[in-house]
Amino acid sequence: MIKLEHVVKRYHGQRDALSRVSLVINKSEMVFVAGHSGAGKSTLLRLIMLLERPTRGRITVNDIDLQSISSAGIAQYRRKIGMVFQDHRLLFDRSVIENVLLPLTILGTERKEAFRRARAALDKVRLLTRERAMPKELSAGEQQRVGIARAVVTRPSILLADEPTGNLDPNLSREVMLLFDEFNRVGVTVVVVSHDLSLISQLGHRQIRLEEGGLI
Amino acid sequence: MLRLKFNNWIFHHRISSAESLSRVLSRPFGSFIICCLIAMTLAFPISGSLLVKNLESLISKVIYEPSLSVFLDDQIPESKGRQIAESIKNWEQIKDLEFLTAEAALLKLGEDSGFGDLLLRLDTNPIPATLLLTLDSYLSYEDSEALGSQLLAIPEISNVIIDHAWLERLKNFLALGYRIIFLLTISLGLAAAIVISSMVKLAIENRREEIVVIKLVGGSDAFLRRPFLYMGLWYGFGGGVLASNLVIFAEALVISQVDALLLSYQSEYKFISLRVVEAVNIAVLGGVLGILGAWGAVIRHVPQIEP
Ligand SMILES: Nc1ncnc2c1ncn2[C@@H]1O[C@H](COP(=O)(O)OP(=O)(O)OP(=O)(O)O)[C@@H](O)[C@H]1O
Ligand SMILES: [Mg+2]
Repeated sequence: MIKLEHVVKRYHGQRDALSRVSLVINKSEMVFVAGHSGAGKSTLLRLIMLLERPTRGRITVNDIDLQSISSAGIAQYRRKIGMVFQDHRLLFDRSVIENVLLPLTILGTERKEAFRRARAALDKVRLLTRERAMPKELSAGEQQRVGIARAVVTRPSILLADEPTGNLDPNLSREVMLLFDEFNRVGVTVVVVSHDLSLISQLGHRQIRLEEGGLI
Repeated sequence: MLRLKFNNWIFHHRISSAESLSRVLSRPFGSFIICCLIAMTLAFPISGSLLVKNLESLISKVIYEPSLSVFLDDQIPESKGRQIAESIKNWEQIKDLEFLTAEAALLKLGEDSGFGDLLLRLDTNPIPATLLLTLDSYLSYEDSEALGSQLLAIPEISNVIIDHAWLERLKNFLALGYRIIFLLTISLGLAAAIVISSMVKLAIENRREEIVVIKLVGGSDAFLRRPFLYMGLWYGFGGGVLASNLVIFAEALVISQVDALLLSYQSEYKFISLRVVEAVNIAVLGGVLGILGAWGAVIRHVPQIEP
């Protein structure tokens, strides 16, 4: 469960990127976050990931008050959340499977088990045949799917995605959204930032709309 | 649970060390140049200390001729003095003995000190009859001292002076040499650490994107530090190994010359070379310097990179 209470985020001397936002995303729920550019969608996810701290208000994730996490505990906290980025953030000097293995290496998963899980994750995004490929040999949609495999390989209970289909054509976008939907079906809490209103309405999950830092 | 944590820790270290080693080896030429740079800074103080060590043993073994001035009692007649001289002449540590009457001793003192005229104008001779002993060159200062007290036990002998002024000077000189080497070691060691630190800083800059991604997926600072610390270790260790080899190579170049030189002294003096233990220590020292240098870079630059 993700819970925001009167959360304000103000970057250095600017207007509020988020102003007094309160919302609850339930366990195993899937929600879309929509809104114009600059509405504060990325800021919302960055706060949940502890990439930023709120200026005011309280955020609780899986019953943990994020305020109680010191900077030394942030890394540990992030391991429990999967995150997918618009620009997928793959490491281009490592092969596909090595990219997917990275979170497991950080966790210290035993090597054989790690490979098994990484392959399972790649299988889920239907890229098992490309495990030895380098990211630059993949199409944009494939790269994004590797990013998704990396996000889910540790089986996080929460999956966040910031415009994961921003660089993809409608068909690929749909494919990626359906993947998120699949993960949600097995109990993962999924928060997806997206502009793609038609796709959102097709999938039929709850929508959170932000405008100028506020909920509407 | 603890065991699992420990295993994870070992596992992380194995991965990071192997990975950073392969990174270092993947740029063999560049890495070799860096190791050479470190090797040169380390080789200087090492060869310096070898030089001082050799000087010390060379001077004390080959050039040092310990000598004693033995003063006889004022009242002893010359014949008795010569008798004593004869009796100790055969002691095995004594290489050469010269008997000086009180007059001869005064004259010699006058010559040695340059106060000759002044001393000759004295009414009475303050100098007793003297034996000048030259000792075997393998005797140490402590041996000379022991011999001195043995001689003092003879009732006719009033005083023994060990001529060690030059030995003291030598000791001071060597102490200065060692101090200079010490300072050189520290400053050049620091230089080596700084070289490694800037190499690691560059590596961190080059891998900024990777650091960001690792932070995003939950890599701790310790996890991020590790490959760079290992990088410093490998550079420093490589530099240390190279430094030892450089010194051994330089030794080989000079050793034949030195041996030829020493042959003329007909001495059993042996050139002191770098020992294996020392070579290993240098490699370890290089590694430690590498880790310290890398640590300096990592502590400053890794936390600054934020997703
Ligand atoms: N690091 C930052 N420093 C200063 N201001 C920032 C920073 N990040 C975001 N902002 C500001 O906060 C506001 C919200 O930004 P945010 O990135 O959350 O919007 P967004 O809804 O994700 O927009 P987009 O759809 O374009 O990605 C914007 O006005 C933006 O300029
Ligand atoms: Mg955004």
